[in-house]
Amino acid sequence: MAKDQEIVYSDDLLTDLRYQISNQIEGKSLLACIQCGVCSSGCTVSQYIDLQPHRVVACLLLGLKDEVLNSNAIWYCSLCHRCTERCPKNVDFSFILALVRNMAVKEGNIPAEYAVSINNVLEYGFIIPYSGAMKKTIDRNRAKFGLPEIVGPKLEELVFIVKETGLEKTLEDAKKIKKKEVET
Amino acid sequence: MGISNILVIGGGISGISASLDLGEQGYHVILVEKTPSVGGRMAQLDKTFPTLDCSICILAPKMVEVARHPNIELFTYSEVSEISGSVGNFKVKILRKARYVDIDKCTGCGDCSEKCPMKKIVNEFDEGMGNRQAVYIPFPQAVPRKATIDSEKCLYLTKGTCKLCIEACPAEAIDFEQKDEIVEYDVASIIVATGFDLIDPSILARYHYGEYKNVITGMQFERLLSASGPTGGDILRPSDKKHASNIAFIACVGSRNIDICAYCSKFCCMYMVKESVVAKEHAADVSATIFFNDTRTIGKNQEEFIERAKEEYGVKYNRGIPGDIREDPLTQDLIVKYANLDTGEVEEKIFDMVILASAVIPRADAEKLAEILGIEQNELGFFKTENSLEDLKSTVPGIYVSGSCQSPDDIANSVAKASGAASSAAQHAIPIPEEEQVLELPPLRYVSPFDEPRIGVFVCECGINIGGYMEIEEVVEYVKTLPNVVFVMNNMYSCSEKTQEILKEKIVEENLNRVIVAACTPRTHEPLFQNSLLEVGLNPYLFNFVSIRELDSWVHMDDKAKATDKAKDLIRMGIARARNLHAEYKIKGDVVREALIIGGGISGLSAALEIAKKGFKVHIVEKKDKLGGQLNLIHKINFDRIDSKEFISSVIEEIEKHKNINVYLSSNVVDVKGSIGNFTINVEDSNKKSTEINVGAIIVATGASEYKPTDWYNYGEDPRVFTQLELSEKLRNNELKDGETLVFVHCVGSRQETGRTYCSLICCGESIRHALYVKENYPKSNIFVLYRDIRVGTKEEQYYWKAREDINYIRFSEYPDIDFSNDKIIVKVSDMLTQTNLYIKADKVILSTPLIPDEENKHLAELLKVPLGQQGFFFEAHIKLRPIDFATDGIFLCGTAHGPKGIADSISQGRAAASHALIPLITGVVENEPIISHVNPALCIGCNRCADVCNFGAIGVNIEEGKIVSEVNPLLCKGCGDCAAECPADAITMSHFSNEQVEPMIKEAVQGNYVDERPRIVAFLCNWCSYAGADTCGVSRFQYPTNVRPIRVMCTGRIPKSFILQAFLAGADGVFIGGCHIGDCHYIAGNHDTLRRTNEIKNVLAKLDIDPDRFRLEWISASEGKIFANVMNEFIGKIKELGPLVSEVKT
Repeated sequence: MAKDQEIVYSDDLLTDLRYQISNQIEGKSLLACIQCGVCSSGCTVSQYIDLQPHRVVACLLLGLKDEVLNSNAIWYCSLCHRCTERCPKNVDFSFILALVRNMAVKEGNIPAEYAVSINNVLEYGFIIPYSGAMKKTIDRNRAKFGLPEIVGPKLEELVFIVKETGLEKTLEDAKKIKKKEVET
Repeated sequence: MGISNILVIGGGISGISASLDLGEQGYHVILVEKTPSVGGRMAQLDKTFPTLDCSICILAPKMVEVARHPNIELFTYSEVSEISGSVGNFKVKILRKARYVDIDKCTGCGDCSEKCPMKKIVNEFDEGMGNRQAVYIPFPQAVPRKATIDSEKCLYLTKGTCKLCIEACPAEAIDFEQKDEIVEYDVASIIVATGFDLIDPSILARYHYGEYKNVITGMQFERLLSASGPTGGDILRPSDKKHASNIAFIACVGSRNIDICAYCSKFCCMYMVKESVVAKEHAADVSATIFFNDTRTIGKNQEEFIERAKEEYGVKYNRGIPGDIREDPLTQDLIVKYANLDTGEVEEKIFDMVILASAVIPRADAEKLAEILGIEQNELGFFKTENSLEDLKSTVPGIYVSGSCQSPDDIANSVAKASGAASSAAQHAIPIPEEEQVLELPPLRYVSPFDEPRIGVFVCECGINIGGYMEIEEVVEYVKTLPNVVFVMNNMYSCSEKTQEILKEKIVEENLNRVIVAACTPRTHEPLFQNSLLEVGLNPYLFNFVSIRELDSWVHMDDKAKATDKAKDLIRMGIARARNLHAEYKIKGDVVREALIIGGGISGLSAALEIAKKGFKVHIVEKKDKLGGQLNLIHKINFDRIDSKEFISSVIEEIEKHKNINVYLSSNVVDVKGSIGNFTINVEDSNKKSTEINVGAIIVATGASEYKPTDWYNYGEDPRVFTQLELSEKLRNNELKDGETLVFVHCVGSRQETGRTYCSLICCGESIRHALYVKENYPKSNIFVLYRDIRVGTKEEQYYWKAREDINYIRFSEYPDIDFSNDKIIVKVSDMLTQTNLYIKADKVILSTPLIPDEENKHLAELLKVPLGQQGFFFEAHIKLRPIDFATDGIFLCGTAHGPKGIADSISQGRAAASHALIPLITGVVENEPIISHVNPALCIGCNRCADVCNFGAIGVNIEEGKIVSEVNPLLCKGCGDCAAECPADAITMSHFSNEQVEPMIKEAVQGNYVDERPRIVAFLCNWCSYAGADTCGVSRFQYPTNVRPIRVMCTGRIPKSFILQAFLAGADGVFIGGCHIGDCHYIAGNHDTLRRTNEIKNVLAKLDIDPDRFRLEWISASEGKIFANVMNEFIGKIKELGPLVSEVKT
């Protein structure tokens, strides 16, 4: 046996992890994986991530939840869909990762950058604030091509959606969990 | 009144094999091929796996045979256009497309093509890698070798101008007035063998096929490797014609893809490794990397081939299929990005060329043909059969399918299926009545032993297989100087129909009375050339084959000068023998029209039914007390879950009801005498009561059984551990508990580094079947499957997919440790996929173990004088083209006795063996070779020592009848020559291997004055084992020094002490004798006599002051090519050490 690898007992495997995902819309394709590795070799961020796509899937199937949730792969994914496009079994890895991200968020596992981004959206309607010097540069460049200024979304609508869909509560719960973790 | 006609559609290897079987059985075959030549895909291949036989070399004789067989009518460039009627009487319309060439006039000279201005037409045969003309012969070995005009490209036929070919044709064969023609036939049954297409890989945009020039398909690479291909066998990449040394292969291009081909294409894994090894042989600097998911072997000796490729040829395997290729725009090099499943990481590498294993798909016109025939296609588009047990019967009675049109298959399986389909198709037809059979051969010309020999020598280049490793011109010039040689020529391929025609012409023109072909090996090609002699009225025994490929070019690949010298010597030896060859005449024998089948499993029973249905008596000998074999132990068969008990009972019922079948239960074969046409077999039952059976043919169907892994994982001690077959039994009896954790471990006792190195082929499917069944019936169970590669058949792939949905698949490269000391079993395994060490708490461990050969095979092999392979399965005559034959006529092989295989394959093989056994039974005659002993009564002293050494009771002094000299029974004599070696009075002549034929060879073997004169070793090799072993050595390219000059004899028993002494006397520095292992002698015990004679010779040598170490006797079997090379290397080394013989002999 490989020595440097962590030992996992089968009792600790989350045997229904695969179904937690496959029971959701668009998550069913997870079960189709035959571990050919095509997704990983098509991946645009493969050099930045610590768990390649095929291994993410293998871990999900086997029930190694922590391995997946603790990896940076689920957040570095750029959702380019090259994996999905290449998969010979139509495993929609991009979508599965979205489900995994949800799973992570529910456990309070949100990277700081993401939390900031969400706040930006709720505050300005954009991930990158459209204001100040940035706005000036953008407007000037757009004007060169005769393009109008960008009109932001209605913030109250955004807030409404966030509330109604439960995202606000999820975010708050996540913060609480995080806080608890920090305290303990 | 029945019909004798049977239609075969498709002239690839499957169609050819089916046609030849039927033709030989005496049916009239109508073979329809769409393209201008027969040969199909196999003709395009460079080599075949796993033996690396030259594909066209082994195929060409069959192509030639199918064209010249009196019972086969060949329609090339033709299609079946309409079929009506039903089984027993189909009416067929065949469309003969206009070739615009009169094939009776066309000589195949190719002058028309040279003149044709349309030179840039993509050549289909070279997979678009080369060009052809509008009037063309598709490839050098094409049969028939006749031109065809492509009506879509011809300038005259499209634009009304040109006609240059008419001027160019000296035979006036061009005929633009030719029209399409419809021919009609009534046929009893139909065999469909239309083969497969390959997908256009540009469908997977990520590999940029068609865009990046250096991305090509496996079939294109096959043409690149071929000596007759567009680059003459050099591996030049398309973009800049530079030698490509760094090559990548990508597996599953379109296959195992739910949107493109939702199945496994089956043979790509094997051709990728074959192409890697062949590429490496073409150029030593080639480095090949194969990107794959699961390697899939599909037949015998293939797992071993992969391991050899890795170890000896350095072929690299990467688990993980690339998702991206990018091209360096400056160099056209290809950057391949891939996941490495072993490490779990993603890597990149640069290659000169990438080869795509594109998916096998049904032929483009499969749907159209299905419609014409009224047969159905399955969900994958291949022709449908009834269920997973049936590979041959289509959905319409009387129409059979064979080869890859039913499901992608390799050559060996396609050949076996073809014979099976032939046997089934023949059930609906009657053989051609005797009065309608015509023999077209001219009468034999009389050649007197006193006529001055006029010898013609034909030297084969075999593409580059011979021509690339020696100076052919030099050989030819040399041979011209030898006495009695009146004609010499060299040919690209001597076996091609074109050369056959030249050979026949020259025999007549030059009035040749001896013919020598220096080429591959007499073991495969001698009959082809002998037939050509017969066709021009020359006795076939005036032919002599000289092997300069297996025994020379292939084993001395790195020394052109010495290989050339050796070829000169070998040919000179052949000429020396040829001078003294005599015309001989075949001996005809009657056939006992009954058959014996040893083994009452499904394969043997399938064979029995086919033969019995044809009206011949069949005897089945089964050692157990009931029929059915392994099927008695299985619960459900295959994924359609056919109930095994039900199925086998129905077959047994049919057997028991059949009036032509005798079953001997609890019985064993204890004695076998005789040969094809007339075997006498002694069968003994459990009460030691013996019965004598007389048959004309024997089929070996002894099966195999599951290995019980007593030295693995506490098996046999801990009841929680059992095998898959034992699980099957538990499932039948509902003995499992729900909610348990089961661990399946694959490859327990198979694919080992030593010992059982083979893959058992069927265990992966069995494991998946059981996993699915357990999950369905015990839904709370948790299953972990520990595997290395998942190897399943084409259609089974989807069940593997299904299994993966709910079952944990753990991939290991090191076998798990299992701890049984606790309540729960702990299985410790390192999982490659997740890169974790997993400790599984399990309730049961189920082991997938291989099929192993029957222990009694060894004894039976000795009784039948047939060989076993290294793993103890029976060893067939040829792994690709004769999978169901033994080298010995009249004895056939089927089912798992041949090697592990599934039930459908065992059934097909059973029928195939029946097809071959039926040939002598239907025709009622066998021809015996005239290679027999003759006694000269004037010299015989009546000592009767000949009778003492004869194992067949074929010779002796019949004192009771008042005779005082020895006599030979020509029908019983098997031609070993043991008596001739034993006779103290030189009264016995062994025809075709007489003293006057062998002794000149010995002399010539030590003559030649060349580069490496010393040491010179004369090697006597027995035809069946050591000569075959030397062939295997050649085919495998095991190298040894050039100092050996082999002489073929039928049996080492033929070698008298005088041969050995003569060799030393003539100047040999060493003498070698190679024979069958003790117990394996083809003539029962000829090698025992050899052993006795050679023991005596050692003393004689010592007395003559010749170091006895200069003589060596070894037993080397047909499969022991490597051992042959080792022994040669060692012995030559030893002789070199001893120095030249002259130095030690006292005068």
